[in-house]
Amino acid sequence: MASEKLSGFRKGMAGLGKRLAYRTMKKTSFLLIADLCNVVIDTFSEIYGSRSLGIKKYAEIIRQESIGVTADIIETPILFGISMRSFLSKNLKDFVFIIELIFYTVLGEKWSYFVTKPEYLPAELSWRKQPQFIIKIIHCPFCYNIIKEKEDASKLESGITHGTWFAKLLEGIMQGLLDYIGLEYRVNCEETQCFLKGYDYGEIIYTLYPTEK
Amino acid sequence: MDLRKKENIDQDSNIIARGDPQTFFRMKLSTIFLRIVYPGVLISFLRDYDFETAKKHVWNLGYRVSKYIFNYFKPKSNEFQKILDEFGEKLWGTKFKIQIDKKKEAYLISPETCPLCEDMPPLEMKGLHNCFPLEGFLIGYFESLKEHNLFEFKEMYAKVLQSKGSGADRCLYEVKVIQ
Repeated sequence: MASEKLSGFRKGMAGLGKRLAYRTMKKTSFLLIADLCNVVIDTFSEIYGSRSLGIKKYAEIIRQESIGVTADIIETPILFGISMRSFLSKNLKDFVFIIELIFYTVLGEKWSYFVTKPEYLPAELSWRKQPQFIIKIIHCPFCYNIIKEKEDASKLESGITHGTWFAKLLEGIMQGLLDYIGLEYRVNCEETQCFLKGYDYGEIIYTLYPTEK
Repeated sequence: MDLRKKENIDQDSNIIARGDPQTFFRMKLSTIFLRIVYPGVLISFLRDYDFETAKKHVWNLGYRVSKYIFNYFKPKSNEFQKILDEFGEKLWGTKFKIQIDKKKEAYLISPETCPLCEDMPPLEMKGLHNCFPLEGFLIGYFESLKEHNLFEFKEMYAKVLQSKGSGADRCLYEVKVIQ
């Protein structure tokens, strides 16, 4: 059972656990994997006839995969046999800490070169009147080499960006976490700003819609 | 959809601000991430195509990744074994054990760990392994080295002989370099 709220002690334990977990995990170059993802998009774009369809197809696959893998990640022991399950909570405010914990566990201390710490917007402060989390992508390994000749962002379908597949990956992980804990929300994650659209940083927004019981 | 649009922007003007490829290259990502981004692609090829076409697409993933990677990673050495050592250390996150076969015609290469096989769903298909893209990767990368006069050879063959993802105790690749 996930606790109602994470205590300072649990957060401290998780802080130690994430370092140990990252140290002991098998790792490979981040750029190698980012390039693999871009090659999959290139391939799907050729197969399905457009960049938009290629990105959408990959996003569909990724979302499903990430929901399934999340449960395994939660069960994996990270600190002396204690799994990430012990560091989950039902309090949405704690998800700022939990999201950060996941980024650290997969990318180590350099995760902050990639994204910022998430910002939590409670429903009453968000324009959609639903709880939201906002992450800024300050450097992007997925589009560092995508020039207009390869992918013209202005020609992508409305609602599709180069990072849509990554937004769906984050969506799947969050959905997996919430389902595991038993919080009844449907997650929607969108890339609302993208370097390819001329912005100085990318932005991903998670929106949590309560599901009907 | 609330994707905000910017009008009249030069898409390529901020390419430097997007990040330093060498920094991303040195950042190490847990192979858990691969479990999200890779097996579903393999299954999608197998579901949508006949076996040979699916295999070709999987092989091409490795081949095409090698072309991306060549842009930011060039080995210091021009010796085959040392190049593989660098691959292992800087790119793949493993060490390769390299032997020459009894006929002295081919290298037998076995990684200590294989990111594409370990912790992945098993793939029980004759002729297709989780780490099959590595065949395409090696061919593509060494082709690029040859084009840039960084490694000399006349012909090269690579083949995955066995794979942990298909139940073997270790992955094993055979590579022939004909000088």
